[in-house]
Amino acid sequence: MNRIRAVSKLINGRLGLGDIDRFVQKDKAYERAKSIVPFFYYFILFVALLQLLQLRHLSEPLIFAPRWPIFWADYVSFQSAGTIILVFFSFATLAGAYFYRNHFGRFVAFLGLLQFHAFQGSFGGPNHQWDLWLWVALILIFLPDIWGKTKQSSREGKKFLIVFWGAQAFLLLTYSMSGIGKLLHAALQYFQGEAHLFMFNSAAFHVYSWLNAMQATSLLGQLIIEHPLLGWFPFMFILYVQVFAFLVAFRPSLHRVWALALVLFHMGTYFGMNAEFFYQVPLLFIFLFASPFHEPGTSWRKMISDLPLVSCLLRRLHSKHVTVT
Amino acid sequence: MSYGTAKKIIVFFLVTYFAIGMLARYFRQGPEDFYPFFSWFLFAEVPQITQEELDIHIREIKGE
Repeated sequence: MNRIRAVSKLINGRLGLGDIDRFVQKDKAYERAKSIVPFFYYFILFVALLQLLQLRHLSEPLIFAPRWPIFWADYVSFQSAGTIILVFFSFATLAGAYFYRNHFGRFVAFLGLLQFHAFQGSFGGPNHQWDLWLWVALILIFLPDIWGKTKQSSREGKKFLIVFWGAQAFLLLTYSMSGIGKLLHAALQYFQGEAHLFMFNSAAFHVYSWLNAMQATSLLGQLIIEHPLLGWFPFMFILYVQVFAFLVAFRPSLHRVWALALVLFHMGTYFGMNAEFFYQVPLLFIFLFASPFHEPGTSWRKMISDLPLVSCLLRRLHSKHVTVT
Repeated sequence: MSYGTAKKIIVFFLVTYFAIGMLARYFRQGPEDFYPFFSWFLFAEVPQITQEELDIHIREIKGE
């Protein structure tokens, strides 16, 4: 039991889980979070309406293997399945946009998104463009229904903020997973004597290989292939941003900076490799750039001292200084 | 549901997503991840380019 307590204490201290309790108590943060949530539902409604344009040219694809959420599509024609899903998606998100203040509205929006997401991924290959939207919609179902109350208890406010923080942490976790994947493969490839992430031409190899496989061109692809260092430095920067993204969930001073870095990363992968993941961008803006936990007057000094690794280095330097003096 | 319970559920969800995403990557049966979980290992492996790769585009054969 003592060991479990010690591990939990270590996690709370090192990772900053204990800090969440501190920053979910602020009334201002609660008010801001409450005003941010509707934008999530407004945006998916907009997307759902755009998807209705597909109805004009729904034609039987070469492969259609329905994922489990749309198992029922096996029993109807492809056109009927597609029409039902897209129409339901639009009405479900309309319900979400209108009734986001209660569990039922948010649940229906999630259901619509789940059907659409499964449909998008049923054509023989995975489609991860909407993954984060789907999971965030699931998390938001658990927000307490306290919009209507003029004065909420601090306990309810805290509960609202911890669910909101869960959505932020989930977004950042996926980027960390991507960074960890790169580090794991870098180690494997290094020990196998193969080209690996830390070689100066790794970004150029990625660009060349991807553009070649997709038979595509990109704005900066040729430049990166000819001058590999131009791609490698941003690649290393983004590796840092990705690996430590999850830690940033516990450091509100960095929420906006990380949102900006990740948006630049998505723009960079498009300019360099023609690989687009633009649907993540609105999520980054809604949940991190507009983060309710970010204090408006946060100084640059505070942000720099909170940077992962830098904060560790500063802490060590400080403790050394204190020991010497 | 209390604040403490909500916090525990959130932490449990994050740990579960991470674990299933990672495990699905290495223990999946088919070519895809365990829907709707995903490892997010995008562009993780550096492609090995060890030789000159050439594309030949045939534009015309016997005037066609």
